Amino acid sequence: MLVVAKLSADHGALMDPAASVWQPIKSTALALEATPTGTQPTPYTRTSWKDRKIGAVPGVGVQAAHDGESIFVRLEWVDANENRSVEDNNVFPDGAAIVFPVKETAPIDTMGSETEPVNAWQWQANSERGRSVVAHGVGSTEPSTEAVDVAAVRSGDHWQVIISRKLAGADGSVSLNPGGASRFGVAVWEGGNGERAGFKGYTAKWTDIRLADA
Amino acid sequence: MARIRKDAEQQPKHQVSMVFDLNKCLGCQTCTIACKRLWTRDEGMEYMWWATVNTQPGRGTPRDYEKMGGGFDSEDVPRAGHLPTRGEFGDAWKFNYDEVFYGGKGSKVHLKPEGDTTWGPNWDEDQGGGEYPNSYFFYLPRICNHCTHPACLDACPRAAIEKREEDGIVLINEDRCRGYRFCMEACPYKKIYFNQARKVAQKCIFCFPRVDKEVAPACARMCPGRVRFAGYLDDPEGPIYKLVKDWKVAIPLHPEYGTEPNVYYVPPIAPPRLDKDGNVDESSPRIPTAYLEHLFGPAVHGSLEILQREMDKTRGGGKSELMDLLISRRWLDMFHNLDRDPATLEWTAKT
Ligand code: HEM
Ligand code: SF4
Ligand code: SF4
Repeated sequence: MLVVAKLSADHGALMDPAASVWQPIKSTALALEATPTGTQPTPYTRTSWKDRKIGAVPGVGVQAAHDGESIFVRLEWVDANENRSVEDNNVFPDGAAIVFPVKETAPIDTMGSETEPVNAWQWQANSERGRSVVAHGVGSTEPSTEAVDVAAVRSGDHWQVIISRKLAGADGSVSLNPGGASRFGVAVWEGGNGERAGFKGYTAKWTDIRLADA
Repeated sequence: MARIRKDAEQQPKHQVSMVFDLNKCLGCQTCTIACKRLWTRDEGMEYMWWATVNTQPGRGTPRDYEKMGGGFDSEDVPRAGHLPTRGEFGDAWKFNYDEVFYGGKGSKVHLKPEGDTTWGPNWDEDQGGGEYPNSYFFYLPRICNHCTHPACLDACPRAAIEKREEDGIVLINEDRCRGYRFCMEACPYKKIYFNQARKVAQKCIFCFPRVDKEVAPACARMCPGRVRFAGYLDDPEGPIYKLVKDWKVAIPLHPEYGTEPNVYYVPPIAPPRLDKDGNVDESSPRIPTAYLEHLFGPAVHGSLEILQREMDKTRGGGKSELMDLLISRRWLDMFHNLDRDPATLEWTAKT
């Protein structure tokens, strides 16, 4: 169970991964596993990575807070190999995403199912803007309209990333409430390992969260 | 996991196709430039050449693409492929234009390329193979093959690639593409480029807006060598059907890649070899047949035989329907149902 602390710090401080507001907030360590090859959506993606190591980043630290209006999730992980760009065809950016079930029963292993969507918020090192997608199973992500704010800094060989969104969701995405509960997962793409799309480290089980009340 | 083959029910109603007669290609690159001018001039497309012409034997574009994997093995299982880099494609060289033209140094500094200049998209032009006086080369134009069993489409985890039902043109839907580049790995012909500016994969579109109006693709219409037949593979009245199905002289490049290409080649026959004394030596062909078999598979033997037989007929003063077809005295016959003059079209400007 991860408790999303209620803070009255200003929005700017919460969007800063290096700000002191984050120091007292408990960090939960989550292990990341390789996504399975057998459930990748196409014959090529099922076979081509069979002998390749998937999920180069083994774990991530997660902190979370909300201010009654928005939720802020701070991710931190070790990645000595910083990839910020797509300057050549064989170069992929580092990335991370958090995912929530839109329908409670949604499976995490397959990014939801036809009748049980999930909503992921994504950061990529080559973009200033975050992205929200709704998925109904592997290979079915569709962008949803609401804004996801992201900020990232490098601290030594660590990435420190904030992913934030308004608590109230629209356009088929997840809605969160102060005092309410949900569950979430995390995925990290190590660009230097060619990770993108279905190849990433991910939390194989949902983690329960509760949002502290006012 | 074996591939579940769904092609049978997914076959398009018609299939566009081209035949390239390698005995006529001049290596002039007019096709290459026609395509460049029409489709790949935007930012992010500088290094793209959807249509290429390389000297054979040679390393091709991208460099050594034949060693990059992709396609399907004999059991129809996808083979992992290499992602070709900008450098391997030959990149778009940058030149010191600013320095020479605007920097006041025009009389001291000469125009020169910047950065890595050890490879270009047509680097080994005219090198070829063999030893004088029996050296040989020929040109090999390539575009996306709009395959019947497209490895690119089969790879994309977002179903962003489609094969048009009406004519089998393989297109990347840029609204769906997220730039994952599995298609680039999977295509064994390495005919897909990544656009860094737009973060999407791009490739030859068989000039579909022209085809929709019965106009042949630009590379085919612009070719001064009358090399490029364009039309529908399933049109028995058209030259492509005749060359591929009736005469069986036009055959695909690297059929063993398993994608069933829809671009076909009439293999090249070079002038005869010369012996030590400079006399014609017909005991073996100038272009080693083993090399042609490497490119076009075992079907090349039958094709060469038919070509030689028909050539001999005309040399003996006889008539050959096949030779007439290949010579294409009436240029527009090369395009049959795609023979409309683009000047007769009214294009509406993009707003
Ligand atoms: C915590 C778990 C997961 C999260 C947060 C997550 C998140 C995401 C996000 C944000 C995208 C869009 C990527 C982009 O457009 O760049 C994506 C794509 C994809 N994911 Fe996941 N994912 C998770 C688990 C999985 C698993 C277990 C698979 C299993 C096979 C998978 C397969 C895919 C595939 C194939 C794509 C690419 C196709 C598409 O864009 O729809 N994901 N995922
Ligand atoms: S040549 Fe390559 S890009 Fe073109 S259809 Fe075939 S597999 Fe796809
Ligand atoms: S195919 Fe035609 S246009 Fe292209 S290089 Fe050969 S002769 Fe020139």
